[in-house]
Amino acid sequence: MLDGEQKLIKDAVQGKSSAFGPLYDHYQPMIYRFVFVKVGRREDAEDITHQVFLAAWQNIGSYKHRGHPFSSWLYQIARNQVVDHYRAKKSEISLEKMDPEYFVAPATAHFDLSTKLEMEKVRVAIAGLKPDYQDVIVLRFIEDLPLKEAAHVLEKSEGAVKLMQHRAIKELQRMLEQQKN
Amino acid sequence: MFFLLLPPLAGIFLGSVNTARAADNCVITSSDLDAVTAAAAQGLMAELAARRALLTRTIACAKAEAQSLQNNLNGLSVSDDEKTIRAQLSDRLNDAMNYYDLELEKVGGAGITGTQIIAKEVFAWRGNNYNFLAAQVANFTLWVKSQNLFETALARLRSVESIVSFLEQAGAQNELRSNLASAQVLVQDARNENDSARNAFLQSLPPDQTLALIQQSLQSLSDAYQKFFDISTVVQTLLPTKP
Amino acid sequence: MNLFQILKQFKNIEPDPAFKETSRRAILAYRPVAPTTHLWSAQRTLWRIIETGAAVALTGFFVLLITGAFSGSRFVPVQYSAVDPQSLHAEAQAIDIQIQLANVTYAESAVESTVQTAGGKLLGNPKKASSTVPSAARGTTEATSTITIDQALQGLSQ
Repeated sequence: MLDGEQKLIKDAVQGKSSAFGPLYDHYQPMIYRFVFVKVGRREDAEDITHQVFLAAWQNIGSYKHRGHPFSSWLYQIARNQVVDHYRAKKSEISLEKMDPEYFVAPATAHFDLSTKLEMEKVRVAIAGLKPDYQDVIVLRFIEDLPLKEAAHVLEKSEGAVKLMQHRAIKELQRMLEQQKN
Repeated sequence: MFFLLLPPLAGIFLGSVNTARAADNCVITSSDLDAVTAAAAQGLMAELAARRALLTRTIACAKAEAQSLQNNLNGLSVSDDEKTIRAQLSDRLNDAMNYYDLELEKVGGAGITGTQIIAKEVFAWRGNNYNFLAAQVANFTLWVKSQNLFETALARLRSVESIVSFLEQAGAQNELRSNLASAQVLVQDARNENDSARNAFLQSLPPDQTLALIQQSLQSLSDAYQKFFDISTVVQTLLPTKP
Repeated sequence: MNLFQILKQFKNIEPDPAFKETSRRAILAYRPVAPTTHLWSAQRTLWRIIETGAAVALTGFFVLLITGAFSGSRFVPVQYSAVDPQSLHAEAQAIDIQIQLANVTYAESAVESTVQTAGGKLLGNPKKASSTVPSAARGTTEATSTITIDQALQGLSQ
């Protein structure tokens, strides 16, 4: 959570862009990562991330703090935007296809090649999981969201999320094994 | 289907070049040249007579060709801006016909070698002057007859803009807007390239350059229509029934 | 690296700074509408009803439009014919014809330059006329072909 976040949110709800700016700066990378892991292509991830924050800013007036972090709301918007993206594209992700741009993208510039290769294999496998499993892996194992917050984002109980993350990891491991063979 | 229409259409509008060559008793055949060879076997006087006759006929045909081009040019419906270009081309065709008249006057007094020299000079003159002029007249004719396409495309664009705006207000997709944006760019490109072709005529640029500009402008129009089709397809899906 | 270690690496992915900056500016340039707090959820529900109603009305409008119920009416905002496939086809075809004609024009000019540079061997060397048998005197009949003005001039220049 950002320092003074409550005040910033309150001001942003009143339409002050000077308050939304810092919220954007703080949360944009995590939303970008969430989207990027799910869609795989930098260009698509940028477009969707932009749409997420645009939608958030356009609808900030309707935001109400209900005991959950601001990021939960952003993640919910992001999940919906990714669904809309696939609906519009009407395309299946190719499990075999790696995005060649990935290897030169600024997002991954600081990784060594073997790490990038490993990450891309995992990302492709994640993209092959059903959306709920993708979400729980990103939220719990990449972004380290607390169980309570992940549950709120996924609109499930904490128990359901625990079960889901266990199954998601198993499925992911199975797919990676399949890839190797 | 329009490929079937192409030869007759090409003939009609390229009457500037093709039909001029075959117009009005100006058909020269390989037999005519063979006849000159045959006459050579009969002696110098026979050969000279044959050469003079064929050369006179050939230059007269060349003049008739230029006249035909000029008639077609003057028959085009052009705007005031284009009248300048037409006048320039017409004047140059007049110059060509005057040149042919001068050469024709020389034939009567020329010997065998003299006829060969005249033929060589006229051939070279045509290569350096007339053929470019004929190509430019053909280009200008093509360009004039394409102008209504640009006007039609612009009117089409305005109508499509209205319908896209209307549908967007009703909550239609982004796809319409992006296709429309592409169509707007393409129509503008087409019009710019069309203007460049007009300027190329005014500046007497080489015919191949002018033709390339005309081809480019038409291709941009064609690409714009592809976008109109894409928009049409989307709109069809929004409508519950077909008309 | 095991799977969990690899997953942790994803946390180091950062968006392109240039994209972030551009996106930020574009978003903040938008001015959101000030909220009305009291009737928020009722208002949202009401808007949903209106939107659904609008979608139904729009469909109905199109039905009327294409069945000509609005013909002659000054209230019709757009002309469906703007995207009528048949008229688009006709216009596109006219353009395609012009493109083909332009290509023919190009081909014509290419042929002309070929003729200019081909060199004529239409007449044998006049000094060897006796050894050149004109086609008319040959035992077999050969077809006569039309030649261009330039071909004739080239033949006569020899």
